[in-house]
Amino acid sequence: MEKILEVKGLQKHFRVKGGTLGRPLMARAVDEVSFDLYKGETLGLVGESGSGKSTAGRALLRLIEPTAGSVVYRGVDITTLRGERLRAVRKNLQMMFQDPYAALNPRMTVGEAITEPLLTHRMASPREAADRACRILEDVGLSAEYYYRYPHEFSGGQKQRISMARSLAVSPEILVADEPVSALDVSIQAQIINLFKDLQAEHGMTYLLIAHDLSVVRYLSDRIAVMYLGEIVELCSKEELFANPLHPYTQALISAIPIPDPTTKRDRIILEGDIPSPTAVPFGCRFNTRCTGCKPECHEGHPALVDAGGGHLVRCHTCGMEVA
Amino acid sequence: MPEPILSIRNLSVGFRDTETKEVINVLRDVSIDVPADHILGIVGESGCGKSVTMHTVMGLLPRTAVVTAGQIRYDNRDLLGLNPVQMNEYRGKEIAMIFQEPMTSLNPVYRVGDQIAEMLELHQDISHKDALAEAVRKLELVSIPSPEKVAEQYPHELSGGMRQRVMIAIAMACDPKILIADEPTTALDVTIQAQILALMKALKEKMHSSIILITHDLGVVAEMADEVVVMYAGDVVEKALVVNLFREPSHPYTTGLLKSLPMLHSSDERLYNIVGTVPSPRNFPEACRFAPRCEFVHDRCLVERPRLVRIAPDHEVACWLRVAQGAA
Repeated sequence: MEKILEVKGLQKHFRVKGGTLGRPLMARAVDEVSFDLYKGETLGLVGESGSGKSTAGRALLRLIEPTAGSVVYRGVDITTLRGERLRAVRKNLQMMFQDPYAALNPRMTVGEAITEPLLTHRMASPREAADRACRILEDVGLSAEYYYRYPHEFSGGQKQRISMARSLAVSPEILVADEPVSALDVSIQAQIINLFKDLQAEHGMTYLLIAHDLSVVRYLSDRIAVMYLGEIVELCSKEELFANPLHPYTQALISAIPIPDPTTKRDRIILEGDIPSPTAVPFGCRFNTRCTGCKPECHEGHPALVDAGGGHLVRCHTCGMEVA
Repeated sequence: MPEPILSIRNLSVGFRDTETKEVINVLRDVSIDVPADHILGIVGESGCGKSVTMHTVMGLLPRTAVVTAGQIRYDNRDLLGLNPVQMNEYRGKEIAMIFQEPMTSLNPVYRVGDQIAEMLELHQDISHKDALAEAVRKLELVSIPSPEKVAEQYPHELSGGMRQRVMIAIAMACDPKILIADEPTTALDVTIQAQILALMKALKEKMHSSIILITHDLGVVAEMADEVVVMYAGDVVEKALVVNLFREPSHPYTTGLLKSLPMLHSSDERLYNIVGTVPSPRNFPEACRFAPRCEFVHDRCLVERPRLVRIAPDHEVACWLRVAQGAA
């Protein structure tokens, strides 16, 4: 498979209120996040609120500037690009957001919203752009008749389709979708999930799917990266992750999903406490405040993301040992 | 089924259009029984009327709402006939409620301990000092670490999961017989959700109260509930014991919901789509409200309204398809 995106050591630290003059307080939202993206795959990025998954998604598109690291798209490091060259690359990397109400400008017609990126990237004349917008509307399961209507006239699911049409207008190679279905009702969620699959089958799209819902991520992704407190703690194929989760956090996360079948009984791992603040990252392993299998070394050294065999990456002192 | 402690009978609720003064019907003949020491799940998507039903029970409907028919029997009285003063006797003391977003339900300028104490002072003859001491015990009950410290804190100093625990502590302060939980874990992360659900279950076991759990998450229902009510567009479309509902879902809406869950399907299976969207209450169909989205729709569904019929012990469904099958 062809590697099209390589993220290396992506870091985003925010300066926050507090701290002292000499040592400003930093929120370490994203730390040393590295992964590759292959053509036509879906990589799921899961984690709870505060894990840094959305910040990572935004930093890699430079919607917010990363504080360190590189993002190489087809041989070009986009973290160093500016102006026209950045814009040229961005056309290939588009983003889609959780809340379609907030993502669409209420004063733009559907047609304007979809043609705007085409015109910004000077990919089409206004007439061609309009033709293309009509075709894309049909691609996402809407009708070209909606061209002159306004976002408020649509339901949540339809708005999410419009928002998807806008992201796909410039034929990006990679779509970063941040919680694309979490604001939708179950029956509508299924419609959008199917649409993601269809567009991937038809156009060979590559997705980075950012979500907290493991069942959605499992259904759509080929590989899954689990984030905790700004770091990737586990990364492997979907099948491997669910069959053989190594990191204690991943195990707890999987066991916490409520299963819609009252006859299944299982031992749930209930984590204690909450995710710590990114301004006060625990020393040693970042999960050591909630982990049940802590060893002395977990409070001393920071574990590295290592291959536990067969490309199954995990960041844990104790589960790495079991494998070795 | 044991004798219900709360019994909602044929409840119909509409909302008055502020301009035309016309009443738009939302709830239609909703009947729900809640037995003692029981967890009842109410599931449905946004706009199905699950929250409106429970707000009616609590007397929390907005002024534009009109109860056009029905009764809510509790303790041999009809709650709908109570005046606001009498209602205050029940609300919080006998029936308490928690909401999705604890931050909007807690008062940001009062300490956590004072907010729990307020509830106790309202319903019991107790001094403020004793109420504060009791508040700490309530915080302990909901497994909050260092309850003395938390009682002195303000809501913004707590995490989302902790706030929801505080909400539960307030709701359970007067040992209510029924706790209504409206999407109590929707705003929480999945590992925190697991904590809160386990806590609710443990409290229920301890206090022998009943819980009415309103949720859109079929997974949560499967794990928590003894019995489930499925609502769609203001109608109860199916009622069953939880095992029956998941083993033999009978209304096309229920089966559709289950078939559309990514959790239950592998990636190479296509998820089922319920076509279209929930209509707005103005456009609710007269007969079967699910008919425009139903793949099994036939003539009768468009002209005559299906009522709940019993298809098995502890399993009722409102669908002409099942009536036809039952008759055959």
